[in-house]
Amino acid sequence: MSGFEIVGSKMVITQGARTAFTTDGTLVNLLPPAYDIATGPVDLGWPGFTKDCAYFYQGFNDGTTTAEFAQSFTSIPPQEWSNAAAPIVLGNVPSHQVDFIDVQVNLSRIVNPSIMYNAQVPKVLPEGVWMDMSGTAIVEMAFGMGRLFDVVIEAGQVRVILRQSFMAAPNAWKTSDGGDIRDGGYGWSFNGQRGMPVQEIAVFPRSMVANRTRMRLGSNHLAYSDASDFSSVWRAYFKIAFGRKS
Amino acid sequence: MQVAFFSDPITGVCALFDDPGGGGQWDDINAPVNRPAKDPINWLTHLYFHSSFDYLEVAASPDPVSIVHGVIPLYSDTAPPDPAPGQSYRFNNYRPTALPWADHLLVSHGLGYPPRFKVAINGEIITPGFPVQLHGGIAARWVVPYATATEIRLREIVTRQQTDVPAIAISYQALVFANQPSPSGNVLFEFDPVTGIVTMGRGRFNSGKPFIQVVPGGTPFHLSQGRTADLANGVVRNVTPLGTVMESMVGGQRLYLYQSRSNSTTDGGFTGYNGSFAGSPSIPVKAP
Repeated sequence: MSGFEIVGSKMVITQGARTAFTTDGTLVNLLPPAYDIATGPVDLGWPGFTKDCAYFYQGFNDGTTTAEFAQSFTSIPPQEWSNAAAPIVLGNVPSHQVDFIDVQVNLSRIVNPSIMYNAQVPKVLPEGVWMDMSGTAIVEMAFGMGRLFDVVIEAGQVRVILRQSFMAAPNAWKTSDGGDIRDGGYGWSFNGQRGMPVQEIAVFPRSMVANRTRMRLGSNHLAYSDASDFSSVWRAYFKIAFGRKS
Repeated sequence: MQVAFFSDPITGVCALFDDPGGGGQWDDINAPVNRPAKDPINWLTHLYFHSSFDYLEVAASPDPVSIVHGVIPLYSDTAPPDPAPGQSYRFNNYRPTALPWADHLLVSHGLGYPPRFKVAINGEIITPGFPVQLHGGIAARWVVPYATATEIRLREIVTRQQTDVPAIAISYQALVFANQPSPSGNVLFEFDPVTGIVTMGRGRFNSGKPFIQVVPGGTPFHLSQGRTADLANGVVRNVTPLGTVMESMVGGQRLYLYQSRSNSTTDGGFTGYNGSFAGSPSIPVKAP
């Protein structure tokens, strides 16, 4: 038996033995499209990581052979960053009765970070297509680093919160500050804070003449920095609908 | 409190709501008594139904689709020769990047526009950049669902490691929603006794369509109510609505350096997530 009935506050539509539709607390709905947020381009910018210099130097002398080698790297110390204190605001939530947002996003990277590990920083997300956000999207990952963003409701607003992180260099890298001179073994030192060496700045090829002036702080030291900039910008288009649970 | 069912031939609205009081003509949408019908956004707590709401019609059955993700060959790493005077060493690109690796069809929907959708794996909703396979304790494969005008597809991203990453078959379910139709025709309310289908609001609502339903527990689909991943110490932590934790980071790098007249290698592993993210609440739903 099919039918339509309103009993108390409940609307029930039956088709044969099946309840096709009921307002008995089991529905989810989006609010009318007039309240949707369709916006873009919105540029999502992650800042460059704070950099340091990891300096590798080795002077070698075994009594018969002397040699010298030096190489300087951009290094990235461990760090965390978020714009949570000043997020990007896409719009206001139209009612405090809103329970969730449905977010679709279309992205493209318009500013590439500088080369890291001799390679482009990988894009995790495809560009120019519509994706379901469902909370958080991871945009970039490379060894030791990650970048992501959330689209969430906070304080009556739809906010985009960006985060990025770089790890503490694993002990396997032995990049402790060992001073400026090593005879054998590793010879890492740092200008400031221990970090992960991510890209070469300069190299002094192995030389059989060890005059020991190319150590860090030596009179012929290699460059400590370069123009690398690991900031990244993704251009976003959003389609956001507001939803509630009945 | 009285409950009112109201339909308005001028605006095409049908609504069921608690009478907010205020009086006025019962058939006048501008009357205070009909404020929930006229201004639903400000009367949500009074409304049980409104024909302008999109009840999320399911456009494609979320049948499981098995995708076989192929073997990821190991990255062949060749050490440089021992250094000679004048030689220098640089980073060797070892397990270098997260690479776009494959692209898979999950479901054809034919709607003609990129629709709203959700994708679940083994009962867990996934988000863009979700890790689906670990190898040697390190994430090796991530996926990103996306929509086109005709399909829901899956982009696969991988990192190559020191050994082959084996193939893996994963079952996906894609839940696709059709956009709410625009009002058309003049039918404000109609019940067809033969089919049992009710149409309201000039065709915007049709009870013959399948709509998602809220079901506590026991469903793979969830509507997120907050962020789903965190990042700390360079490691991403995904937490699914059911509480499954997946942590991922691109695998190690290798650096060749001159050392005592012979080259040496330094490998890096990762040092671990050190945050405290435990996930966000969500609304569990299922397709009818």
